[in-house]
Amino acid sequence: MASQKAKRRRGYNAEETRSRPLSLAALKAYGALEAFARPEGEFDPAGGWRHTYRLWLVGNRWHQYRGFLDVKRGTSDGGHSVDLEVRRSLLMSHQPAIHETTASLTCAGDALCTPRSWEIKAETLDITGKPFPLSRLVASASVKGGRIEGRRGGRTFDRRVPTPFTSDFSLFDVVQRLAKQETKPMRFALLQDLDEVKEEHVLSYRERLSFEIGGAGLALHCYQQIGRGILPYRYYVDGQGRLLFAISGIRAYILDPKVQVQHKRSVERLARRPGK
Amino acid sequence: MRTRRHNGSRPVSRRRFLELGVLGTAAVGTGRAFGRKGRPSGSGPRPNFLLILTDQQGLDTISALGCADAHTPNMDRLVRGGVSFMQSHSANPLCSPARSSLFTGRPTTETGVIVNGLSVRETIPNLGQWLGREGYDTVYIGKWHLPVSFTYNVKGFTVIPAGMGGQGTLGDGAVSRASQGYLLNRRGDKPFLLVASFLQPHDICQFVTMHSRAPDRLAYPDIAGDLPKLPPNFTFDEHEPRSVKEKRKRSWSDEQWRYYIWSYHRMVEEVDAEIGRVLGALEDSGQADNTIVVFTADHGEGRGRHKMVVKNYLYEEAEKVPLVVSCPKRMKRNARDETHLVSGLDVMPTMCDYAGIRPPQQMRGKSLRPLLEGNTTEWHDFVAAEVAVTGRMIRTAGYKYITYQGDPVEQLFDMKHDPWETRNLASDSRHAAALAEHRKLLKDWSARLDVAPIPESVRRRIDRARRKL
Repeated sequence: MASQKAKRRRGYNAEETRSRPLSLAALKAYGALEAFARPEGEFDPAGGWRHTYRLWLVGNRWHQYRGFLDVKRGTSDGGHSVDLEVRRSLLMSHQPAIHETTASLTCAGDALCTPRSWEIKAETLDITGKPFPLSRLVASASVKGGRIEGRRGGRTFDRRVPTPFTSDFSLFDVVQRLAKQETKPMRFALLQDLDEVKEEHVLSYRERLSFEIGGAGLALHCYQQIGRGILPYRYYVDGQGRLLFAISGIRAYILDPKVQVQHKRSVERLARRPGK
Repeated sequence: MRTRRHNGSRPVSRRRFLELGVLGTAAVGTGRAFGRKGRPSGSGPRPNFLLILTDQQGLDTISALGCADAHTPNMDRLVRGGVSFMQSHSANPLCSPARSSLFTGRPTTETGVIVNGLSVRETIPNLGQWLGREGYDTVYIGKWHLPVSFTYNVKGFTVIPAGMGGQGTLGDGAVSRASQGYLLNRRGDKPFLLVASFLQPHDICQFVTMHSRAPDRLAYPDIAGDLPKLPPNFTFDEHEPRSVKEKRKRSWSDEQWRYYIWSYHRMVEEVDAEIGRVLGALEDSGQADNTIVVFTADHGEGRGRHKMVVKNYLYEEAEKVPLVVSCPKRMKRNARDETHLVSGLDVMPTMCDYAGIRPPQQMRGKSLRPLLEGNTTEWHDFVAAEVAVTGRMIRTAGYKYITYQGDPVEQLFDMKHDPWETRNLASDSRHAAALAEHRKLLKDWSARLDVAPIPESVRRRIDRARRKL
């Protein structure tokens, strides 16, 4: 979080900022973009890439860094398959604990990056990285004929999944490959965290915009996602399709390749703080 | 420097360790009443309990109970598998106070938690302590708020720390995952009480703050056709106590009000998905047939009714909460109880009853078991609720009476003919007898309470508030 001095320097007005919906401008006012560095070099959304996002949230009385999301993409089977490796680490409140999720997905090389099979592990860790054993959930599944079949916590399960569908992790790939102009909206069911079905989702092109950051304009394209069980998302990609920011309700994802260094420091700080 | 010892998976502070030792040798609170009820022979294994709590969820937000704007397939499953109480009231529509009553069966004047951030009076045992001493494995995951919102230290419970203060949208996923993990990983024969305490749709509080200066146009024009209608009591008789009027500070357009309600329903759907994850794990665990699921919330949300947002007042939108109890093999299925007045105070006695445990003395609620199983029983003639220290409500079958100590304006609503509370009848001479009757009910109820001491800091706040009136 930015220092009081830094806030004064950029004319931060807490009341004014907090009284508006979260936006790129609000993120800038909060100081959440201070660590943002424009990515350089060529980017091929359809190739292999790795993006790490700072997870930043507005709270009751504060706004803060809350963890990170790391997504790594590769292709196989001559581009017919997309492999996603995901890691998400979240700092829990008022208590020395971290919630960690890792997932490996094999997806179709289609527009929705539709998951075909996956493994996911979620667990709560104490500050030293030691898991609370009862909290661990390991699941694997594959999609066959409109059904998800798999094992979860050592038991089999089988459930229907509406089609077309995609996962929230896949969307970090999907939005980077969309046309940068108004086209037919994509309609799908969302499989959040690979097990929560949320229906009636629509992803569409919203606008082209220029956002000033670091003293220069940044040309962006914005897509929006609206559907059951989420507050609307706005995804902001640059001219090459690289996803730089995503905003939904009180949460923001900010591209930051160095965030895991900060995460380590945050965890160490948390370890020094007495829990409640 | 703090020292910790491990008790199973739970980090235990030295103080907590000593407390556990003390609890191991001395009865909690009213120890004389402690003990197993004579359970009928052949009644089978003691049931498990899964208590699912949401935060800031009004009763009429569930699609199976008639809400057309939210899609809640998982809450609907609970509704179909059990009994939904349509006259379910929070004991105090604010987070900490409501929770203190849910977990003790005592009104907030007795628990001492009359505002947020206070602890339950030491002499009153909570549900975890009570069931834990009778052999239950008691596990708490998520928001607690007595006094701290999120903590690893809850008396009577093993805590799996998960959740984020004020940020349900990401924290609730951790709560449901940890609950899922517990249900699928637990071993042994002990019955369990698992509390999965979610924060959503409480993020609406942030939404309200973040839309204090709402934009001139709708942020997402595509949803204009999907916005819900304004509620029928958006306009109403504003002859109200001053402390209620003061909460009403919105200057939104009708469209902004509707966007706020639309957003709230998305948050309800968000927590519905988390509940689905937990229910799925319960089914996978093989324990569903022997687990009583209780689903409720601490309080509701304004949703534009009476032009209000959030909570901490006594109109229906803030004080009526879902209460669904489900265990298809033990009780009625897909039943709606439209008549019995129930409250958060009735949750703990119900669990004690099904566990075959005598409830703590001075419990003010009653077991819902006869109602759940379709048996006749004598029931409350009224429920009482408190709020904001001085606010009191008496709800009978026909009327709702609201008063704030020190405020000359009382409210009386004819709930049969005016369920949206639009006409205050307190000064209508045709309802004078009803007014007198409800005043007396409140007076008699108040006289029976074992009032907890009020902390000096809270007393100063009350005095300041009174001086403003």
